[in-house]
Amino acid sequence: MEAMIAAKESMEALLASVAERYALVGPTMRDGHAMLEPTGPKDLCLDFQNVTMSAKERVFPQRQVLYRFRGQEILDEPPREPGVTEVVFGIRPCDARAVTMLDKVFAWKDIRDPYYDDLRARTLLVTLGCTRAGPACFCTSVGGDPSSGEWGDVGLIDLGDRYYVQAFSDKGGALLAQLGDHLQPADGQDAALAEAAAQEARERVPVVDAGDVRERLEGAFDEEQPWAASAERCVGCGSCSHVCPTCHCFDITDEKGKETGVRIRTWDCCTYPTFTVHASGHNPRAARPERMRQRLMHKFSYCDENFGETFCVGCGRCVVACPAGNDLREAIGQ
Amino acid sequence: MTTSPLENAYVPFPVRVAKVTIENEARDLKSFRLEFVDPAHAEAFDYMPGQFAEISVLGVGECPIGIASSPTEGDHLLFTIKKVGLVTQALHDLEEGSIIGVRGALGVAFPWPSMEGKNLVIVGGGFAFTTLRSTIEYILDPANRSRYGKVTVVYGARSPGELLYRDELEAWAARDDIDMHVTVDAGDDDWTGHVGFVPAILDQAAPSADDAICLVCGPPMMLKYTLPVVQKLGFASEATVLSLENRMKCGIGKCGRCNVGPKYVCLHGPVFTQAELDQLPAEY
Repeated sequence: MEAMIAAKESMEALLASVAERYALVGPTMRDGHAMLEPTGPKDLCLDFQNVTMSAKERVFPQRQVLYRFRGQEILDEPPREPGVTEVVFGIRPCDARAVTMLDKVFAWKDIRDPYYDDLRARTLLVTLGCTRAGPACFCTSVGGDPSSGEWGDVGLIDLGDRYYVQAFSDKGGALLAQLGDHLQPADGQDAALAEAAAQEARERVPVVDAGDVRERLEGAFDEEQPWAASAERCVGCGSCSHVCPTCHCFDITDEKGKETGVRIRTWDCCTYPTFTVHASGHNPRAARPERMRQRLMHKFSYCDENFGETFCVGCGRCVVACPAGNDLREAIGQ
Repeated sequence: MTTSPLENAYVPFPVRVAKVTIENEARDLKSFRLEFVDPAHAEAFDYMPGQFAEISVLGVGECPIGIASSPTEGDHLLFTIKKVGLVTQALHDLEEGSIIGVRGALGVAFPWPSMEGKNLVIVGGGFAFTTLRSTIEYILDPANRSRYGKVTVVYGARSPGELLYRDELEAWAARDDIDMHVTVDAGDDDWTGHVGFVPAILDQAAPSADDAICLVCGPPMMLKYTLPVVQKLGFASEATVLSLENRMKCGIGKCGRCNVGPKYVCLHGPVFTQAELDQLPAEY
């Protein structure tokens, strides 16, 4: 599909048109933080660094009901109409890329996860290329691109007074067709400006020398370093995993009322000391360095082995979130 | 969202607790004979010995348990469960006739295709004998027995009262197509069998490793002292088969809890050869 142009002055009308058809989710400013949440065309804010929590929770919520039950009987759920119901507008390319990684987890070995499949099919991702890099960003060092819309359905690049708009999937093409009143065809000059803006954005991203990270971490597996230093600082709070757009470990628990209850899944974290405790009390990863090692090895070795890519998009959220000052860039850099 | 267990891997098949058997003197081991409420589910629950299932008590939770029955025994399932946590406590409190749930069958079975035509040495300790019961039942089925060579079993428990499946142990011992070595750490007045730890009895029995595969299931301490004997008898690490039991939740390779190296115990295991385990970090 050909590239389009959306004037910034008509963005509110464009978003209103989206909101007429779909639930609109996007960045909103709250107490100085950009939050990704359901919003309206007036409050959606496209001037932000990155949202505090990634788009992961749109397809893999922090708490999700698997099913409801009464006694030992699972209650039927009414079927839902298929199709897109939610447009997530204005996430960064790194977050969309992370969702493509989650796709691999939830379809692994052809074992489908109906909950993930459902939300993924309902959600349409519109990315907004970065114009500046955050202090902890390093996407280009781990295979990312701060401007590319390729991992989402529609991609926007900021050209100053207008956005350069491209569809990257059938879902995205269908959305742009619906928004035709607010779009004009882009010309060759727009394309050149978009490429120049993309190149400039790439050059602004700080670089971490993460080459051979998998081989280096695997080689250091039995060594005390590099795990011990960061483990000494780690307080086991799990913030790194919770803000990580690719961390996907979860727990399954039951919540029960008087008559009915729900079985839910909730985000979990391999740095929690009880994550792996056996019923016998035995804990395969009882010490903190082992758990720090697990988190890094899972991302940079095991996922590469199983899914063909390392599970880090360089968003830097874990660096910002860590209350102990642990910096992933130090762990994976040369 | 579909709540059919045939379409949603998180939804358990409803099963009826048909029979509960107290297995030991300490009364903390019970066997549960489970029957599918819907016969179509029995057909969908396709399994081989070595696999496990998630047992579900709605409102309490789920726990992964090795399947103790053999598919040759019919449509019912058997699980022998130690009372150790919330879910297992709830299971021990159940009365016959109760409805619970089962998700599975999960994981990979013992390496049945490569076991065919081989002599089999089966070594078990304590209540880890469950999937080995399934294995022995499967092999001794008239339709299967001729597909395997000599079968030697070494099974031990702390005391005679802690041995599982006493009736079956006696029935197997009476047969001439299986060589049974049942032992206890300490006997009592009525005990006439072996007294001694599993590794010592295995060493005495000294089954040949020629053209043989050895299955070993037991608590960590038993494994620690038994595996060197298995090796001494001449079993290569590729012919030594073990079963892990890491903590699990989803059982279908998503939730990450049982992850060891690039493997997921629920998906690539629980059955691994010693050669495969040698490639993994010892995080189990």
